[in-house]
Amino acid sequence: MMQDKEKARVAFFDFACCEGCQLEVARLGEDLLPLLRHVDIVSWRELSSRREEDYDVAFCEGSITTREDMDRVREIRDRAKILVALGSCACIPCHNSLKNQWPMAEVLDTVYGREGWRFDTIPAQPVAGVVCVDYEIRGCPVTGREFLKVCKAILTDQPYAPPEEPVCVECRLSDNLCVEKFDLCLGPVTRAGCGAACPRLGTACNGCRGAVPGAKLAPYKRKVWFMPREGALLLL
Amino acid sequence: MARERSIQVNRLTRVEGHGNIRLKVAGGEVAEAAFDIVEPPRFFEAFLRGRPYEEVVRVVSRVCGICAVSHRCAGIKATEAAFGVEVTPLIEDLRKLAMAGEMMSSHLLHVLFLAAPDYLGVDSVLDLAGKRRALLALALRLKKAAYDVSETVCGRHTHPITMETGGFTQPLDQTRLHGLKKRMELREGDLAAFVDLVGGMAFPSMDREVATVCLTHPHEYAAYQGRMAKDGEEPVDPSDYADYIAETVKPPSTAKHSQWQGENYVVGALSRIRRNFGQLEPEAREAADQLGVRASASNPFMNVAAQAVEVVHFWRQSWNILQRLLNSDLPARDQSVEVSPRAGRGVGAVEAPRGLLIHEYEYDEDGVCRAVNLIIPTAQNLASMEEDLKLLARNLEASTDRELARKLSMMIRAYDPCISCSAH
Repeated sequence: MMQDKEKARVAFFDFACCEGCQLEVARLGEDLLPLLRHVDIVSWRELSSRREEDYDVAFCEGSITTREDMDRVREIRDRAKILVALGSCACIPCHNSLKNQWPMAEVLDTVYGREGWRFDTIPAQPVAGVVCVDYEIRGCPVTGREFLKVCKAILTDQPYAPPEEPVCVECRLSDNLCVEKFDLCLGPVTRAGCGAACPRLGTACNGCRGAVPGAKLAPYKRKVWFMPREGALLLL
Repeated sequence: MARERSIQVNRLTRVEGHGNIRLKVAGGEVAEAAFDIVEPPRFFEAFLRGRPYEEVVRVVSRVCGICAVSHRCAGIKATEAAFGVEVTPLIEDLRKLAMAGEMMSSHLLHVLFLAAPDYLGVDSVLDLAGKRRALLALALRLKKAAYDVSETVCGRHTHPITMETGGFTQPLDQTRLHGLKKRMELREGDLAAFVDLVGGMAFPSMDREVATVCLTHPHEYAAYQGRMAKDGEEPVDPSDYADYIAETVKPPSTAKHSQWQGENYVVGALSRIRRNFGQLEPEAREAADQLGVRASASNPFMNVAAQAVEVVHFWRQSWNILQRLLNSDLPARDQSVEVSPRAGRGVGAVEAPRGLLIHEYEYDEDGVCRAVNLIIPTAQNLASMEEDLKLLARNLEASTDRELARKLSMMIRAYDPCISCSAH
């Protein structure tokens, strides 16, 4: 079809993750339909049997945790003009990095016992730890709203920077009661963009979008697990 | 049958996660039939050790993007069992409501988005956006309505926010429940259209004997609570699961395989309906009649129809819980129960959309987690899935490689495997 040739060819891939971010995209439901006028989804294993290897934009969900996946993501990078890290597992790499505090042999042993050596696992890395990433969409899970915003930026060839102000800004703007007096809340040092989803509902922020640039993390040291990368994981 | 043939389907599409089908026929016999789980595990059982209980239950829902509510509930129940916490019936009702929402949304995702394209002759439901837009719109509307149920209760469907050990972080809001009821009313008509749609799917036939396991409860169609039971046997306490369920590591599969006292078995909608048929809502039993879902689990393809029956059941159940909550004199203040950690072990079992889900934690006196074991529905089904691959390959020995690969894929898909979950 002539028209389809003008559409951006889009593909979705996933690595170590729960696939919840792709489902958040699917959950856009009818709001996804206008986007389909501008893009042609040529590969999306979770939702479609169509599998084509010629694509312009690749969305990659999940962290890189095996050598095989390092090769897979490199191959995707080679094929795609634009690569998007979808979700916090792909960006920082969120909960997956919790295993990095142990030697890999020990986590393998805990889960698989004596058969552990037969499986491959490396410390969890963000997609950007292996290949160059053009756009990042953070969140556990991402919001459909931000996904559409990034799609718009890609289709109009604009840059997109994930919000850099702390969650507290969005929290105060929505007139919440601060939860910090009940619980250790990571809102002050975590990137916004979620609309203060957790504090708004009475739960402490667990830092799923990673630290704001220049965050003073010392006060949180004892309860939080950090990754060496800038702006990387915080977790309560 | 071709005396020698080999079928390999890499990264099977329209399932959650990464799995490969591998079949080898040698000398006219099926020599090998495997569904290899090639999903990279995330090692939850290793990294949850050393984390405080509040964090354990928040993080554990991240095992799955589809059944996050079930994982959260199983985690909470295991933690409450370890600490000796008992919650009020109101909180239990809210949890049941959230789980009913998830059961519907997960089943609708599978029936309409993952399985239906096999029967509609398209690659994906998104392909329906042109000519059969009404069908796509129906699927999207229903899915949204189901999400709405769990989202109203726990703030977000994937991953729940307000649902915690001991209760909820926020008191109940009557207005939101009223809103939900109104929105559900609007979708009533879609439910019948959905059952009709599933009625139009021509499920391939297959017949095999299989053991089934699920939770069962004397007063309700078990999902949130119950004792676990193999078909034809007396129910047993889920906290003794280790006496019945044994997991074995089967490389290269990153998911373990389970057996019930040495026997392969299946969990999920077919198993639940087989045991608890009489407790389905009357309307769901009518749907079961319409779709030909009987109290038997002999055809794995019928899992899709069984899930459709459960959508009707949990829709009605959500409605009933909502009515009950709205008619009761809801306390204005939060009913959450105080949680004080103590050393101990706790088991939490629920029926996740794909079947029996068990979480077991061991905590120290400060509520820091020391050991974790997760028994995942899809991992319990793997051994049976491989048996069924073998049987189906024998049944279809006259078919072409292409047709055989297609049917094997459809059969695995009908199980609705949740592969990220199974490897966790």
